[in-house]
Amino acid sequence: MEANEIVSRLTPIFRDVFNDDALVVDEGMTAADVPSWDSLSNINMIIAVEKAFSAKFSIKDVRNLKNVGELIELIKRKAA
Amino acid sequence: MSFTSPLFYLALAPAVTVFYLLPGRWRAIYLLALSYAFYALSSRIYLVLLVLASAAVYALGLAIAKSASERAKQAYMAIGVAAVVAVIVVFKAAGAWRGVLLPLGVSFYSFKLLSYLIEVYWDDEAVERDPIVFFLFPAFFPQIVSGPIQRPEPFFGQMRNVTARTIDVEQVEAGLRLILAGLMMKLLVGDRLADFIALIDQSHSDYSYSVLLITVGSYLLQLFADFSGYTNIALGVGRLFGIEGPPNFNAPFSAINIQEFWRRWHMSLTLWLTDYLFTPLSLTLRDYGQAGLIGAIFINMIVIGIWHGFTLNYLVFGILQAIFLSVTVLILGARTRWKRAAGKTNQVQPATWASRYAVPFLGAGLTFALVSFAMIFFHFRTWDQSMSVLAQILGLSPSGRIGWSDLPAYLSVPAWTCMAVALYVGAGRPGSRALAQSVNAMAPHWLQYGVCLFLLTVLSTTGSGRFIYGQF
Repeated sequence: MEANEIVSRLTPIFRDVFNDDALVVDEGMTAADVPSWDSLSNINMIIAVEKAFSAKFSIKDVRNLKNVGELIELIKRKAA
Repeated sequence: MSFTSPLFYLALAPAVTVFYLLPGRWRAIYLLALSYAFYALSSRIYLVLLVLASAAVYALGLAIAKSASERAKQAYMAIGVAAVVAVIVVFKAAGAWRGVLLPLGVSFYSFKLLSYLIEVYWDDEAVERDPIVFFLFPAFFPQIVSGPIQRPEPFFGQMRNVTARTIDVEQVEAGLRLILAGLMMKLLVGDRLADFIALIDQSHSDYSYSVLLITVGSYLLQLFADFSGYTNIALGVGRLFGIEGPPNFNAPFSAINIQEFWRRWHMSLTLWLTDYLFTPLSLTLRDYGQAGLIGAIFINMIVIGIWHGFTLNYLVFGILQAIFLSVTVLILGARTRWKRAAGKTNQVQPATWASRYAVPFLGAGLTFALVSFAMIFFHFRTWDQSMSVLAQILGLSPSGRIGWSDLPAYLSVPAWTCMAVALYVGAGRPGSRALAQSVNAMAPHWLQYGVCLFLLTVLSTTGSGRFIYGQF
């Protein structure tokens, strides 16, 4: 799966979870860039991403994510 | 030695001077010796516990980083976490049930050690090989009494920088400003409010409903004045040695719901729990949907409660917070889903008077009231005392006759003033930037500091100067 394809599939998930229809997802994006990205919405986002890509992330995987780029790499590794 | 003792500051000045006169490499060793000496003034036996715990975690950290297999890493991490948690549990239990005095700062330094073990398990590169820098991390004396609970990486990074540079005058001045602000908040606001609350606590049934209601509301204000005062002093003293610690408060009384309140209150603890307990727990329980989320919230908030001590009151405090937080999360989630279904997501609504002022004000008021209600269980040590005040607040037992007008002005005026100051500072000091600019235009810094010191000398109470969080 290409990074562009993952970004385009992540965009509606992010818009839904973070409740912002204007959100533009890019690889450099971090939680600090999105006001509604807190600990609760972070969990919701991870669950939604797992569901959309039929993947299962470990706690260690999730904890080590520093930005969306690393999430994309994780999806590439773990997606079915 | 307390942060409010003049002797502490008499010792601090030469201690800081020597620190910057020493060559870089010696600074960390000197600071470690200073930190252990500070601890030994409180207890030499418990200093042994601190050193042993640090040594064990240091060795386990190296073992985790060195291990090639995931199983071995996990085993070392689990052994370390279990051992540190056992130390906390044994002492908290002994404290609650046998009256044993807790080792100074054990709740705080043990959380630092736990975060280090977990971080190294998550990422080998988080390991700290320099024993002096590592041993200093849990022992660092400005943070040992009651935090803030700093994370390993920011501490290690800053400590290495400090050993490689000369004195930063701006950082030292910022440190002194924080110490002064903290002392004023603690001694002029917190301690005065504590005296007033202690007076009402002695015989609360003699006081009228309104006196008791306002006093209950001031428990939270007093705790804020006391703990934010302590935190500022701790951060200030840390800065004198070149270490910036994490903040504990971010205008908690401006929070418009409980969820936001806990993002702004005792942040170094709540963020710690979010990273090492709530997030792993929520992910583990994710297959159970909303029930899993609510379960994670309950466990998290109960841990926050009993972290303060193994008593029924702290447990009830945690459960009440869990209920408030769960209800808030469910309501906010339902509102978002409803807005989405109605097609009203993030459309920019025209700002009205209600959306700008009334809704945040009401939300902040309700949040303050809910937290104050739970504070009845935090403030009193025993269940009976809490229930007695609660019964009076709920109108189930009669109130006394002493009203505000019966209280002498020398009691009521300082109490109201301190409540107002704590509320203003805790709400984020609205308008203070403009005020500071006007004051700066009129008076130089040295004059402002002089006035603050004068006020501290003249207006400090003769109270104990002990910090509430010193007991945890």
